[in-house]
Amino acid sequence: MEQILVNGAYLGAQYALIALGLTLIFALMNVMNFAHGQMYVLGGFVTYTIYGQLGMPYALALFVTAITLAVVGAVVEKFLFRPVIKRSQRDESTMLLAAGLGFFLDAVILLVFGEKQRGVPKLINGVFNWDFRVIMPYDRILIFALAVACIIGFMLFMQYSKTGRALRALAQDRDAAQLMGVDVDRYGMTGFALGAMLAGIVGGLLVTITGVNLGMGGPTSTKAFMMVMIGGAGVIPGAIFGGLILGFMESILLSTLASYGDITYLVIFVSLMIFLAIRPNGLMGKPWG
Amino acid sequence: MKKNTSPAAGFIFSSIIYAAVVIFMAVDDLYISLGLIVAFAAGIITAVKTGFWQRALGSINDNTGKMTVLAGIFTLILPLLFLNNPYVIHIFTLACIYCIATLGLNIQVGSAGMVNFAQGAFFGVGAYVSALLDVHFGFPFWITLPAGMAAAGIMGLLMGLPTLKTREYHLSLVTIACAYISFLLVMNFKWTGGPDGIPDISKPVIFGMEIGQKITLGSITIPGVMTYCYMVLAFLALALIAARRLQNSWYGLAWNAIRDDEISSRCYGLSLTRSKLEAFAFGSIFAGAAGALYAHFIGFMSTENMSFQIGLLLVCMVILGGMDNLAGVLVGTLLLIIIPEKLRAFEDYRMLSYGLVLILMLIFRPEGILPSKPRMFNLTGRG
Repeated sequence: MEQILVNGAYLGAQYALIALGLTLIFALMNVMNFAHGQMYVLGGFVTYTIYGQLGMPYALALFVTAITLAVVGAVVEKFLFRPVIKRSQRDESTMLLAAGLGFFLDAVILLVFGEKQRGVPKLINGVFNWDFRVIMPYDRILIFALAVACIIGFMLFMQYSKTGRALRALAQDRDAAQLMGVDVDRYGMTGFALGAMLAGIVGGLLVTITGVNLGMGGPTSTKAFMMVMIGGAGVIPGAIFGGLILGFMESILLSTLASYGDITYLVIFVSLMIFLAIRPNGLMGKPWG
Repeated sequence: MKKNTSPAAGFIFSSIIYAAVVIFMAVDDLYISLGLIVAFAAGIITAVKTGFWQRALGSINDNTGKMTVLAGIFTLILPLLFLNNPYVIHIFTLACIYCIATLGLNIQVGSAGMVNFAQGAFFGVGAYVSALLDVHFGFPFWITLPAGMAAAGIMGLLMGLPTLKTREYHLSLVTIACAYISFLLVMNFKWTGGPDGIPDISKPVIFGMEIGQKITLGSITIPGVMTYCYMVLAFLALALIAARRLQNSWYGLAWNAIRDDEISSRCYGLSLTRSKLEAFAFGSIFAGAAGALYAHFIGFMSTENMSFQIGLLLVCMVILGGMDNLAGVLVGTLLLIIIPEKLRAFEDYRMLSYGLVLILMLIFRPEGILPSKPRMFNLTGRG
């Protein structure tokens, strides 16, 4: 049992970090970024190239990954999302743009990095073993700690920095923020870059444990979408709760349902549908209208 | 109140487009295909700059009846032009099958404004029901097709229920969940063949003649795809008529009202529950028909053809073509099937072409290729 809970917390921390990026982008631009999973995969591949291929230190690799993805996010926002949001009247256009971007990134990753599963050398060897009740490799513990540090860092940043305050104002009310002198275009871009960066960092963290491959992008987008909707769209604590809930559900169901075949996600999706029928706005979402 | 523009500009315009499409489909070489795409884009830009584009579109809008006949004739001739190239007919048939599915999806996404990612699942339900009845019980196609449509329609109704309380992105999430649930169920049941799929699905039979058989008339051999293609075209025509009638009926008006403002349509006495469920049921019946046609066309059905990706692609087709505009939906579907298919020589570029087409189209025409026109109330009583 302890093992299952520890696994859940480990998964949940990663998931929460992915969901944070998605929910940030959603809160700022009202865009559901279907390319989020692809950004995560891209981050994994960048880390793989720098740490695994070139043999640079891991910290540097993670830093470069964050910068690369932030640049990708900023470029995508400035040249793709901003013009389309300005010109189109219906939300569906941005959804389609995000899907198209997802296809595009998939293709770029395929062309640049190939379709093989890639992994990197372990960061630390050794396994933490508490009386055979909890068994956890040290590198997983390290990644978990890094993910939690990132989440805390992000929340502190949003709470106390000037940029964070501007982003929160923007999420609360775009027009009012503009009237108070917040440069909406600039902070929209910053927010998108930050969201993409979070996705990339998770990719960089997880590549050391599970490796990356091209096919992870789509399912990750869907999971991130679920977590955000469970917690409530555009609410930061909601995304963290959503991530933790999904992580725990996955780890508990995987161990209890293993004998019935591969139906973990079947149960998760069914409970999601029931949950959304009862609470259509998620745990902490604002009601409509 | 009708402007009477001469149909000439429209005729010339559609003939040019048709010729371009035929040449594009006939060309085999990747680089020539790419060159043609560039030339085509250049042509469109010049047409827009010289004003011909607007005149032609106006002419097409004013002479809808004549243009529909023209498009019908063009479509009927198309397979005959490729007698020696069954592969092109195969792609064209596939595109037409997907057109039926997107026409149904358009009811939900375009008319009623509910972005539904589960259309791939309904497609799969239609295909699986039809295929299973055929393989296990030996029912003829003309019984399995309506059974597949009915099953998909009932599925649509059932999935409509949990979406009733949700809106926008939450509604999309419920449909995504539904798509995954259907996919995982089919994957895990024994009697659906699981990941192996269902092989050996028979072809439909009309008057003792099996559709999809090679026919030899003297010196001419008609490839088997051809007959199936014409059958699909007949179904597509039926689907178009049905979609058109739905759009112009009270159903369509109610869906549009709900899309534009739920609260005010309730104030006018519309039942949201009923209208939304109808949108889901009707839309998924279309998908069920498309799925059944697909299963019997390919002769094999597996879970790969009902995944979430298919649903996403179908949504892309509808939005790309132009929501709530039947001609636009057809154009979007053909475009997203045929262009990647032409570039398949380089499998790696397939996704790239999807992505590029979507991104470029959205930058230049965010409302889709053929945006829908506002509904007009015509005082003379004829639309």
